Amino acid sequence: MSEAVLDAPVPTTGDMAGDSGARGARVALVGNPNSGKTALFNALTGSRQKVANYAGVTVERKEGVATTPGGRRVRILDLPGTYSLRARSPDEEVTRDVVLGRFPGEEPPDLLVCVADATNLRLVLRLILELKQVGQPAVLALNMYDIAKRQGLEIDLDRLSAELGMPVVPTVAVRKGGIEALLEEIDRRAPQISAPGAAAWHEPDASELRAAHKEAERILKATVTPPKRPDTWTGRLDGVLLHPVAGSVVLLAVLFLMFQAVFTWAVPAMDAIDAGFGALGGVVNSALPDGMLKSLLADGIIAGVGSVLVFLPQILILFFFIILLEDFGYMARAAFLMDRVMGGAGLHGRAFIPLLSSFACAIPGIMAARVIDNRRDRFATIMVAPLMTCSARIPVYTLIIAGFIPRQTVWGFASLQGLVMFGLYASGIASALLVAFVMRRLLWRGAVEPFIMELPTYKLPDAKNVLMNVGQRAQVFLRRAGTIILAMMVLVWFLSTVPGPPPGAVGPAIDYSFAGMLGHFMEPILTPIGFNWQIGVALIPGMAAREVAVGALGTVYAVSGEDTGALSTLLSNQWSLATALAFLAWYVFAPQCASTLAVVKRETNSWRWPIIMFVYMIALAYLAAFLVYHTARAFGG
Amino acid sequence: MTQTLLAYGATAIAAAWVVWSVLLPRSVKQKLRGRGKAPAGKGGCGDDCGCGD
Repeated sequence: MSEAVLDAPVPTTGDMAGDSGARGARVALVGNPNSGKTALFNALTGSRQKVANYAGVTVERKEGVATTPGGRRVRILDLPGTYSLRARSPDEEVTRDVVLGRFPGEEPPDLLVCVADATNLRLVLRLILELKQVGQPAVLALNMYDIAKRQGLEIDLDRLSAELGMPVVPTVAVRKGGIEALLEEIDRRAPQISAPGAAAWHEPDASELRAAHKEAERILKATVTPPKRPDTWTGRLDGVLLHPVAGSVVLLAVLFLMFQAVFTWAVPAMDAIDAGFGALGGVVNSALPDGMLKSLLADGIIAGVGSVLVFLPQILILFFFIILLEDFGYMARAAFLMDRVMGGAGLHGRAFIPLLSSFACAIPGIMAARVIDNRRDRFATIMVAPLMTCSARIPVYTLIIAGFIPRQTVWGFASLQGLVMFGLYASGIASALLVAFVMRRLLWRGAVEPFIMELPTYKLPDAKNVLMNVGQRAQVFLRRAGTIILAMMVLVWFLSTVPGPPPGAVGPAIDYSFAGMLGHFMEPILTPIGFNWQIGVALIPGMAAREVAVGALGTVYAVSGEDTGALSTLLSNQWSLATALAFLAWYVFAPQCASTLAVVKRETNSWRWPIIMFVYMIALAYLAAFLVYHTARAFGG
Repeated sequence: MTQTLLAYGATAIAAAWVVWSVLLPRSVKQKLRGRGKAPAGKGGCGDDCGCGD
């Protein structure tokens, strides 16, 4: 066979091989969750994706291109993690169907790269034995090999290769270790690629399963020598971090410190951004003559987008902590600690991963719920995911906290503003658990399935990975500010400016605009919860994305001619404390994100669930705002 | 007059962008683009929220 099998048609090997040459051979990465497939995919393709420490991060199909030392271009597929081809959840079904060539519209892979966590070979060996039955050429990438060596594990690579009948390449994906060797091995295996799709795998019966288990144990004993002095650090740390009491105290302390840092570290950068936009507004105001364009730039774009962008430092600090903890291996421990609480609320232990993802955005969280195989458990998770505090709520929370909660220290060390933020996050979590509890009893009765999860070893976070992920978050936020937020601000400005006031009008121009009319129309509904008509105007564009409400408030007040400095200061002069607290309560529950509802429809394949979600969340938001407003008023707020 | 035209033009572009990016379902956009499925390599939520996942 010619060396050009992977990058040029070679008809002598059959039609499929010829096809694979023409389209670039397809190499699929298959392995257990948390074995470092995504990190290996990044190292092979240079593609920048999220690398996390908790299991099941790879939910969607990802493809990239790598070039081998022999100059071949190969297409790399990153498949969802699985423990077996006997798939139990939708993401595992994707892996099974792609590997077996059954996935609609997806060509079968030409070569399998089995990715194994070198520190934990027991489970992956059974998967590899199943994959061997598929009949495709395969290579074993023994990932996290450095950690295995450090732990004192001795792996006989030659024996392992002989036992499995496939080459074994040690890799350290996060540091790109062994990547060249792996690509060379792909080069060497190229001549063996034949017509794909000859899958000989079948669902094993109980006796076959037992035999596979015995075979995996035999290979493990023959090839892996456990360390003479076992790793005690992981045990010692877990003794504290997984302890029901001490572990919970540490978890609360970690979250508490995180929110304290969000409010104390971000202040200088936020002040600088605020001053920058103030100066930019001043330049526009002095350079342009009075008119619509000046109003659009100064009141619409600079006031609106600037009032959202000022929260970038806080969002980045929050994500810095989350990514750091993921890389360290702590998030899986947090999942373990939370399992008892979530089980009490009727949520499956695996729901922790989607719910954790929802702290960034409910959409990846809802999609990550595919890792839950039981339909009832999956739907319960999807329905409460938007209650977790997504990053789009941060600008809303920080705006109100900065304006209404004094910058003071309590108990001698804690920032009051950080405490309130902590409380809002806790409210989101508590309400998600409460709603799940009620829904499980009303809609989906039945026992929650048991949760089995492997805890990753502790690792020192990789600075490059942490910075790359924080940088990605910054890019995402800036892209939103430059696209959807900017566009919505232009529309809010238009609605707040047109039509202009009639001749002889005495009130502010915005009162006569479309936004003013709409706001006044909504006022009777909003008055009982303490909202004025300006808030009503801001809630509507906030349907596109929650943080747009902050920019819309900035624009509405700027067009009203009430721009007297920072938006938070302006609001503290315009709103009562009761209104501000009711606004916060509204946003703990508010279902204002059209994209989330669209994804719920897609994931549940029904309009019923997004409609139920919208109705229950808006009812909760109204009720919470009503209760908070009247309680605060009763206390003189 | 020029200022008003520029401001209204910007508003029209913003409105068209919002309709395309936020309001139109993905299936309709794919039909309009003449594609059968999402481009390869788009993981996570793709363009739905811009969260980068």
